[in-house]
Amino acid sequence: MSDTSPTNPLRAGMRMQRTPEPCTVVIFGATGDLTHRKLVPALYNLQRERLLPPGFSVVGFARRDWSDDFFRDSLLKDAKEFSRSGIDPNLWGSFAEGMSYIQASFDDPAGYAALAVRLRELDEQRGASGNRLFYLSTPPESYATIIQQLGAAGLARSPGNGWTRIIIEKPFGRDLTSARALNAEVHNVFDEQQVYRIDHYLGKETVQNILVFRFANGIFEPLWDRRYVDHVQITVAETVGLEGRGGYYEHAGAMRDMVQNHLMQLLTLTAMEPPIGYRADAVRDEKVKVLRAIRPMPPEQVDQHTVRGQYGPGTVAGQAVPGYREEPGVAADSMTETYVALRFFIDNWRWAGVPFLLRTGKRLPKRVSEIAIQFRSAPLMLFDDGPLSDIEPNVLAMQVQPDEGITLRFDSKVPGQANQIRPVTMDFRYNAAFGVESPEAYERLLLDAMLGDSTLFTRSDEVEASWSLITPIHQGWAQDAPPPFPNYEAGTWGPKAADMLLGKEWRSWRRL
Amino acid sequence: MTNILTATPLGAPTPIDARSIERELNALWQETTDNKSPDQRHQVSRTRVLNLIVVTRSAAAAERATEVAAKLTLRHPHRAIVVNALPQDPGDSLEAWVQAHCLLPIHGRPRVCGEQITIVARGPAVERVPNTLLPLLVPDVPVMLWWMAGAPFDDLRFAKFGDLIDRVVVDSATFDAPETTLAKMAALTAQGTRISDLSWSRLTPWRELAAQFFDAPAQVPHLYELTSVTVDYEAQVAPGDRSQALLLVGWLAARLGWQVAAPLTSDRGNSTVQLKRTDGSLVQVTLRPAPMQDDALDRLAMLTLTSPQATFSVARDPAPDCAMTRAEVAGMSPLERRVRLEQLDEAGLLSEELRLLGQDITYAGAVRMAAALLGATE
Ligand SMILES: NC(=O)c1ccc[n+]([C@@H]2O[C@H](COP(=O)([O-])OP(=O)(O)OC[C@H]3O[C@@H](n4cnc5c(N)ncnc54)[C@H](OP(=O)(O)O)[C@@H]3O)[C@@H](O)[C@H]2O)c1
Repeated sequence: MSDTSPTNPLRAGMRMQRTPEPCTVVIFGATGDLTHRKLVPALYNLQRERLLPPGFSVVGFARRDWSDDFFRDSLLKDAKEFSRSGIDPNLWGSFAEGMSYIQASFDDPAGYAALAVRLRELDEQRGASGNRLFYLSTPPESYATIIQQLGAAGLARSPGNGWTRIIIEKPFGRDLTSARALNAEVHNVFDEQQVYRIDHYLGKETVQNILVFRFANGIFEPLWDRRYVDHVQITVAETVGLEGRGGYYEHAGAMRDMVQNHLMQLLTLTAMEPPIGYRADAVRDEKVKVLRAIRPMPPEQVDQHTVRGQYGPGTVAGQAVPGYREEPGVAADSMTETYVALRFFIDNWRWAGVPFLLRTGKRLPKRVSEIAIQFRSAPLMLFDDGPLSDIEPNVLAMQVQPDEGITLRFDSKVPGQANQIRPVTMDFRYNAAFGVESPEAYERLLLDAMLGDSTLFTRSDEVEASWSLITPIHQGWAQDAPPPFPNYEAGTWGPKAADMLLGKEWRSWRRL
Repeated sequence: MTNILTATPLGAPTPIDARSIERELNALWQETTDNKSPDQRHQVSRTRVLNLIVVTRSAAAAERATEVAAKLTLRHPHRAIVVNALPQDPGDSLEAWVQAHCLLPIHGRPRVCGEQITIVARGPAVERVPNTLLPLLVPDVPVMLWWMAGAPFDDLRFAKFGDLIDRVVVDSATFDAPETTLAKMAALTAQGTRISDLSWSRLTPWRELAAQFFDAPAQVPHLYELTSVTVDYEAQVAPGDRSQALLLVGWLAARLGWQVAAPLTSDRGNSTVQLKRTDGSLVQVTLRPAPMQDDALDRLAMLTLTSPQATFSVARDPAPDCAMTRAEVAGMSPLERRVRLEQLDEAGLLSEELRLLGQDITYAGAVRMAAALLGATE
């Protein structure tokens, strides 16, 4: 970030040290689902919180033949339903004044010429001073086209002292080769500092809280290594099935849809070294370092370290639900995984020998995301005749959703004459301590991008490092004999085979 | 989110005994937990991030304090100790009882509950309140005192709270003589007393909106070239209570390093004061009374900042909880938009103030300059 601009003396002591400079957000894919349900409600709420600058504008870009008014009305209809604060018509009116729509196909240069004209007008009329944020909320196949067209139209750089930035939605590539190719396309047109790759998990308060918990407290970090930690479990469980996204999911699977991005983010935040400062590159340098230290799985060893699953028919929340292969848009003999469990080792001084066990799946019994640090057992059984393995080891669990909080499990004496021991938990609920609603992830991320802070976005080397761990797994799976899908019933915790990843008989997957 | 349910009946008033009060509170929490289905038991959590002592002077005010405390639970789970001090009442007694207030659970979220001890002090017993409170405080978390109405600074009982408290919250809009009390508050703040003034908190949206004009680096130079500041404030009869307007101007002056050149004078309702910028040029400040719109305690109607090349204004809008902002800068078309300017209730204002644990140096600067505008020597 260039910090040569004069600072605003009136901001001292306020909750925000600054709000974005006047700017224009251009949304590609503006007629789509994400724009309507998430992006525009998030922008509206930022405006409501007095966090958007005067002269803020939104330009929508998509194929459908919509007028400016139709565009505004369509957004308003959904914003009423999806905005966390509802809609105040008085505020919406003023917000919507800055909205307009450009109809064009992504491969049509005339559309970009029209966009360039519109942006210049907005610079003049609304004082946007050349500041632009492009948002690619489109099918991933269109990313490269749009980027090339923006470059060709001269829109990758701002006139004058303004800035131009681009937010790219997930998925970023579908393997290492395509991610590299896409990075190359991006870098042909934009500098890396202009690029904001989104992983909306990083916009969640509780995910950000992992770093605060680790590095703002003095008592946990000394325990955070191979000397005290037996293993780490990261779970992202969903109860939902496909929700009509069959076409997309069939070609992605749980590994691409969840592991490569969200679970890897949770893993890096849990395992990274303290950054030298809370700044975009300092934090991301450490994240990349952890990814590089993860031992890659050669394709022929993939079956020892991963378990795939696909759900069959079953019951979720008392409702009978169809199996994956019966979902619309799914092939009757589909081999797409809806569940993955895998084991990584991080070969560095802190973590050598400590397994990181990751699992995620659809149609599991409960919606929950958590990171559990399982500590080693006490070295000696002092209090009981039973074997040491009878005492449950300490666990520190950080729940990310839905009930954000931190739980510490420790052993305690059962009241009575005998030395009987039972695990008890100490619970801290984020919501109970601070019962306020957290802002939506997209609010935080859009605001950060407008402010030029990329800490919570994925850098190009990070994306590639992550794919370089995931792609060999896909290659290994392609060589292995196909698993007996479906191999778990909807509404259960996934295939039994996942237990083999635990490695030691005293370990078990957490019952959540 | 503001549905409040006082789930547990009030305990019986008892003479004050810290151990039995703690026991009763524990029993109350047990009850709030037991009322729930077994699988949700762990869902009620007892977190207390601060002690809030509220001093009131009537049963009605004590009731209002209870309501506010219940609402606050959501953002600042705390132990509330409501002290209803009735020095004129016959008798000489201290009585206390406990209660819990829980917020109706939001689906899928844990239930948030708060706890409260209410003390009624009659006659001379009022003097004994501060010491009685000591054993009732939750250890290791900050202690806030909310003096619900009026100015406590000359009250001997307030002095007795002295070392007990980390911060005192007042509302200068409820003072008998708010303008003259500004100097007192400036002096106390200067000595390090941590004061929160709800009248100052009401300025937060105004300050944010004024500041936002200058988040664009291109506009910052106008800020250093301001030649006049006008504040319109609601008053029954001119000049009325200008304290809130003075705090706003005090804030600008402190942030921009202005000094008082000629203190406040009034003429036909308007008040004027001249300030000197760091470059020696003068800034003309005018405070203009405006008709009352409602009985809300936020009395500001409009703020206008003028420099040779630009005019910026924030004006309360007829639409509820809204304001219009306007920027007119030479060479650009004027920009106007409607923004939110919320009127927070006491719970909302307190909630914002309680986020702050240390000294609020922005407020300290503002109140010091506000007092200086009135001619108090710095
Ligand atoms: N929806 C979510 O909850 C969600 C969550 C996370 C990530 N994402 C990601 O966000 C992105 C957008 O998702 P979405 O669900 O909003 O998709 P969507 O509803 O299918 O919307 C796609 C948008 O792209 C436009 N479009 C497609 N091809 C075009 C072309 N050739 N020329 C012009 N416009 C074209 C469509 O416009 P027309 O319809 O007018 O042709 C539409 O506005 C995807 O990358 C997705 O992976 C979505």
